[in-house]
Amino acid sequence: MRILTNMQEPTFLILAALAGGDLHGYGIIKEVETLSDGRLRLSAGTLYGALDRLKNDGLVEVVGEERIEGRLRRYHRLTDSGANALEQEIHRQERVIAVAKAKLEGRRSLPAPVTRPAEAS
Amino acid sequence: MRFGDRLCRWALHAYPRDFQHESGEEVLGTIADMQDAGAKRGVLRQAASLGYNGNRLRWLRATDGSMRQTLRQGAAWGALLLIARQAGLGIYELVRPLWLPWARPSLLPQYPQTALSVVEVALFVGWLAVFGLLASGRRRWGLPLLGLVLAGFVAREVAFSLSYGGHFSWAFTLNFFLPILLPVLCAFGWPARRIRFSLPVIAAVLIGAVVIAAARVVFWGVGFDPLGQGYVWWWIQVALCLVAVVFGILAGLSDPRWAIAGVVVALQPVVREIIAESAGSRLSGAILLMALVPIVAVLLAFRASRLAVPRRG
Repeated sequence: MRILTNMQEPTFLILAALAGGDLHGYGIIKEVETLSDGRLRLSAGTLYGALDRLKNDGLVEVVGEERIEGRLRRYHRLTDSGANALEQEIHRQERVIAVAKAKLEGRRSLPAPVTRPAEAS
Repeated sequence: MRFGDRLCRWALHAYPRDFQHESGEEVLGTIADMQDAGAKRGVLRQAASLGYNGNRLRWLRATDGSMRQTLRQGAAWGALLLIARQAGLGIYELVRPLWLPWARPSLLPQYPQTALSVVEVALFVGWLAVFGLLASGRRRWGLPLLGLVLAGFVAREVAFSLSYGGHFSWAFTLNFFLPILLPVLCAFGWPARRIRFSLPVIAAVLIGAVVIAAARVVFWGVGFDPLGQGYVWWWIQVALCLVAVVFGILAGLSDPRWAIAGVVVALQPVVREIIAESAGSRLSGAILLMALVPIVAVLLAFRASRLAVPRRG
């Protein structure tokens, strides 16, 4: 398995969506939209490009398929490696958030900036 | 089948063939699900996304993602496009002497021969064969044949300049940069991994080459003023160029090899024009071009020796 570094947001959200259970393509798109508060709506091209990479890396696997009204639906599942990668990414983001929070707190405790009076010409 | 479905099915061809077989139906099913649910994204945008991501997937699978490999493959693609362009211009060279007296009867005394030139036919067939061989991955035959065709091409240019007294102006020899650029690209840029264009790409490149040749015949070869035909023709040209540029940018964004190939193709006329503008002196181009033949031979031989696989045992 290749450890993902600098995981992009769509990839992270796809893994997060699959953490809740097996989903087919359109199910992943809907779940990603919900997770991102409607901000990110994946196109089919982006979704299947990401799924292809995730399957090659062993983070996602296909666990079944069905045909509804002539349309093929495949169900995807997060593998153990995928769950580990997602967990690592969550920890990484938590660390970044903790650092950012600390910096923000530090900024609030700073004295207000002194404004210089305009120099007389 | 709705137009949108057809469009998405067509856009799926951007993906590698195995992906189309394994996941094509699933992708189309997902798009249909999105459309049924009243997706805001139009079917055009879905098709564009398929084209972009499919092209990108081809690149990611064909290279290890390194800039070196991408540059080499892009340069080799550029060489293939230049070869296809030469095949297209070969049609122009063939048709022009037949077309010109017909379109401009007043020029007939200057063009008494309306028969096909054997040299031009040989060059046209040669360029086409080189493109076919190299685009289908047969470099062992394609590269030596390219050397032969380039030698014929240079010989024709030399004969042309000699017929004008042995001297020429740079601007006269329209493609003098090609005998330098192509061997360099093929000898040093050709990647060890086999290059193979898909059939739709081969068809598209050849159609593009024929369109260039047709445009030259219609707009430059028959000697009439394009503006005399009205601005409709001008707008058609502008629109076609815009469409080509948009497709080129999209292809280049998703697969940088197309961007590199585009730069190579654009480089040739740009450098030609720069030298044509700056070189007012009358250098003996014939001698220069004759010197290119051994350089071509040496470069191709060097590359061929590097491609050779040592026998075991």
